[in-house]
Amino acid sequence: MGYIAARGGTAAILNAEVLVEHYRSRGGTPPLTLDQIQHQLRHAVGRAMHEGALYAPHLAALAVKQAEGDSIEASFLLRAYRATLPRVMATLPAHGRLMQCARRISAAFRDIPGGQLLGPSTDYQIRLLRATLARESDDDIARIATLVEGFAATHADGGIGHFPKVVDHLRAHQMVVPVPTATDATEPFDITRQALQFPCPRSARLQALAQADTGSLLTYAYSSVRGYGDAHPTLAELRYGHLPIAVAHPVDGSAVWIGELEATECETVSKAHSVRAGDAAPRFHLGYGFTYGQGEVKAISMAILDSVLNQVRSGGLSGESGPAADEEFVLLHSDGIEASGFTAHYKLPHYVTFEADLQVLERAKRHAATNAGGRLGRALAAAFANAAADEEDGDA
Amino acid sequence: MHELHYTYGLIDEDSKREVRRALLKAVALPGHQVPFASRDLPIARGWGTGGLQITLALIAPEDVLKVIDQGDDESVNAVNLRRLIAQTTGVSLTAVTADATVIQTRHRIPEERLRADQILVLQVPMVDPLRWVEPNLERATVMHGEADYGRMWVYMYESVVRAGDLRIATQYPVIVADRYLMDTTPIPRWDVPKLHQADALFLFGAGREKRIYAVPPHTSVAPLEFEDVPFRVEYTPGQRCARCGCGDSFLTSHAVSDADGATRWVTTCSDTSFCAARQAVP
Amino acid sequence: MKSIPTWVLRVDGLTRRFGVGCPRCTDSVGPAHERSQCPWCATVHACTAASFTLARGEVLGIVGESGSGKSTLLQMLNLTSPADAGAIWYREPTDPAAPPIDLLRLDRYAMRQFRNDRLGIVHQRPELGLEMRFSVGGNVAEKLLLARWRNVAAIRERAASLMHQTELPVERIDDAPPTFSGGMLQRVQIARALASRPALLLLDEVTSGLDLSVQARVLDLIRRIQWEQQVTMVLVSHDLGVIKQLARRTIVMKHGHIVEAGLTDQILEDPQHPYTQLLVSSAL
Repeated sequence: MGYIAARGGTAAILNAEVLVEHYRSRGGTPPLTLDQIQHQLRHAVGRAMHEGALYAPHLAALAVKQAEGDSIEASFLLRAYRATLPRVMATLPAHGRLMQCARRISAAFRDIPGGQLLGPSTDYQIRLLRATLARESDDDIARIATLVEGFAATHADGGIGHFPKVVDHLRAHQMVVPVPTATDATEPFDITRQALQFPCPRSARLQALAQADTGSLLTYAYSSVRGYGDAHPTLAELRYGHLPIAVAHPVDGSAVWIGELEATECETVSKAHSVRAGDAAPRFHLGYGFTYGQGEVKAISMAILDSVLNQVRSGGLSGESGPAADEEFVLLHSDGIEASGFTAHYKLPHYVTFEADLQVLERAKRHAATNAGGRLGRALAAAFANAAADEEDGDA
Repeated sequence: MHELHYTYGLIDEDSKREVRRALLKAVALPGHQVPFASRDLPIARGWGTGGLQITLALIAPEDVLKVIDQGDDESVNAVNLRRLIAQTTGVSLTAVTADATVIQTRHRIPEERLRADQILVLQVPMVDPLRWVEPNLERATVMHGEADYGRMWVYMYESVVRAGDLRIATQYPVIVADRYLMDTTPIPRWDVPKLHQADALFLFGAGREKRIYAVPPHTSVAPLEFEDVPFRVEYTPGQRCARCGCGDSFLTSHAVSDADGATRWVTTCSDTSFCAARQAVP
Repeated sequence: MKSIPTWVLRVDGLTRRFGVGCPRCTDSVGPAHERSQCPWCATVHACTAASFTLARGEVLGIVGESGSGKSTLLQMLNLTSPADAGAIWYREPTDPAAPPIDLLRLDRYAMRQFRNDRLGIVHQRPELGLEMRFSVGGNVAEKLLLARWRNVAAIRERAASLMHQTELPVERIDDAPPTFSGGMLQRVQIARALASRPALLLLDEVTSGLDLSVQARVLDLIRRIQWEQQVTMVLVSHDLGVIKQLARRTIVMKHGHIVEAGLTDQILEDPQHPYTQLLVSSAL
């Protein structure tokens, strides 16, 4: 036989699965525990959760382990698992102002009600490799804990962590363009239940952005501020902490608190350029970003994109638009799981399509020989040569 | 943590019902793209999730399933999809086209004429031929609504002018029931005529693009073509399958090694079940 | 004496505004108030109650400065902009017995068919009317393909003939528009617009931005086509010289209103409305 070189068959697929397990474990190191991953690789876990669109830290740690640290693969595993779960109900809108903040900064005002709280951040860290981390011991970890207990002792002040929102202040002074926001009564569009169609409601946009690939959002947002766009964002507020979640009581409708999420929330304002007919006065455009975990770059990128798209929608964009101003372009190409799946599908056999391509290529070659030097156009022109003499084109 | 258990056909019943509703609408409007939510599945987007959702939504315990990729039952992806469907439904499997009630396929339509009691489910990567001339969905939706296919026709005209022929190898665009422009998926042109006035039902699922469409039995399917540059299927006179010897099926090329180690190229039927049946006839 | 020409188009009270409007709009906008945007609700009244009739083979000029509503009016005639009120009655010139239809009452599908078959438009900017990725021949062919021409040789023959008529080099039929000059692209647009033998040809500032000598050639071409084929045309221009050369009748627009209408010669020689007087005096 030997006619079909790449006949996969079940055996090959099963063997490939075993080999993957082997490559993961062949280093001879002790197996990683999920607790270790969840607590020591918290950004990998957070990214798997926000791109996988499922808040489940322990399962996300499992996904990171199974994916051997590949963030798209880990989020894909979570996303596929999510699809098997029934959607029981929608929570009540979660209000960022109720977040128990571990970190909260504003770039718009130096002094904000409640003050700035740097919290856990590498922003001002000198990025030098710390060789001591390579030999970290239990004692080292204990020493860090003692240091932090010291902070708490000096800064303890009762209502720690709850802050008013900067954007609420701007809203109160009519400085921002109102955007459609969910009320307790309206259930947001759910792109897992309905295909995304355009034009789409803002809730669909926010959901799509919230589960998008971090790198994709970063690219689009960066392009819109660097030179292929007209975005001029100011970070009104970035906060990270624990956000309480409630559902409506099935009988009396009152809020029942069911737990909390570790989340990052970002709000940007960007200068309003022009006023469209029917608008009152120039105002800032809002942008909103949200991720599970401490996904600050994604939350900021999302907020910038939301604000650009809000501007486009309200006709307020006057400068260069760029790809980030095209809602379809951004939303349809930023889902990491869809994009990676389709890009990877080129690994599948394409024998049939390639055979068909080969035949078309052959015919195109023959035609190119026939039409060398625009012969066909000239032949057609010759048919009109006897008609009124072709005068020289004055404006050619 | 306990082992995870899944429902019959993997997807929950509500989601399957949604797929079936979309299918009914698609059959009622031949060639029209019907949006559906499209669940995330444990196989990657772009690897047949649309076809898989249709198959899982339709398949009943008494069905007999065939899955092919490039016409081949043993191609890796066909094996993998069949494994998933079999594990979650327990339906009977076959490689024999005539025995199957549901056939899921990528890039081919079986050579044998399908019967009225058979359903062919095609996996769709790209959904809309208008994407070549209008990538924006909002505008393309309006173009379909108004049957505004002028630019698509110019695309075909330009293909003739630049390449001397209709320079489209696969995903050949067709007009269904004299109304909607439709993508035939990356089947070769050889397979396109099989869609026209067929006895079987053709269902098309695009998981990543979240659209379903259909060609019901006995529906007109007309490839875009010109009177003087007609649509033609691939055919090389004299070329035959190296295994069954037939000259009337779609052939693909393969490198084989001779006994002396030299490599040469041969052509064989891409539809392996059809080829096996031909070989069995003395 | 010729018999009274039958009308092709009767426009009745055509109105378009951008914004929601308010009770004070009516008394706040229009030529008398020197503005088309309502100061109270910011609604722009782009075109208010435009009415006129167009006879078969007639050329109607629409003149006014930018923002006067002439382009909005043309877009409504092209069925690419919706109207808030009014009607566009159309009588098929090849079938005088057919009852008139209100084009604005057609559904979107029928509207698209009508635009494909019976309308031709030439835009000020060629990139609005031409697909730059396609060849010039392909751009002309689109109108024929929409009319169900399905023979490439016949399509190319007709496209070549249209190019010849519009004084374009036929041997460049397969070249892309960006390789043509501005004046040539306007003629490509005209060739394309004429391909389906439209009942109505719409011309939007077709010579703006062209050199004077090129302008003259394009205008000559339009005049010759009108003379030879008796095409009914609506010609929008801010240039009275262009209007004078081509249009038999003219309407003058200001702040969304028609302030004067009549024979072009009469309007130019004896303008009645102060605004027209200003236009005429500044042009001379």
